[in-house]
Amino acid sequence: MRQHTSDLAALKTNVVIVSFGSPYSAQLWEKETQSQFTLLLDPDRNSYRAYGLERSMLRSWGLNTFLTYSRLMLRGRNWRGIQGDSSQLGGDFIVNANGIIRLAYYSRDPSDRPPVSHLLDILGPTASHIYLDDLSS
Amino acid sequence: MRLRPGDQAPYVVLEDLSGQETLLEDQWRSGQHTLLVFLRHLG
Repeated sequence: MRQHTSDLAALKTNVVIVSFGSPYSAQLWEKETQSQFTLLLDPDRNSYRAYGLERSMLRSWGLNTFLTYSRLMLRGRNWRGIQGDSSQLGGDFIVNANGIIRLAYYSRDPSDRPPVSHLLDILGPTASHIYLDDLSS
Repeated sequence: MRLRPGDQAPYVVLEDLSGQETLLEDQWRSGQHTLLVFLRHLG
């Protein structure tokens, strides 16, 4: 997603990362990833529950997960061990300025994220116009 | 329960890295769209 920062900015999209890690872990993560996005924390995971994000030990620790973490470590990311609830799954949501959900993507496993091209399609100016037409019909 | 397009995004309180509470709704009111990326964890 960092590669598309300028695309997201051009579409006036605010990117917010939500995590249930500690402030210390969050600062390490920001330093390591050089993320320019807003990072907010939810140690009790109330927002995860409110957004319907699931927990699954089986899906959290499948082969895809090990392959993904292996690739990240080969690229220089540090493994800091299991922190918090390792069964918690993530997801992506696009919310418009009125607080209405435009996209709700629930990750099947930790390596599962929507393609950025799909996000850009939803965020694009023509997509928002089409969505409003759908709501009025 | 899973959310779907067209649903109202839930109002929740989060924390910034200094521990200050912040309303998530302030994020989507600050721009045209907000992309929320819920991480699994920061490992």
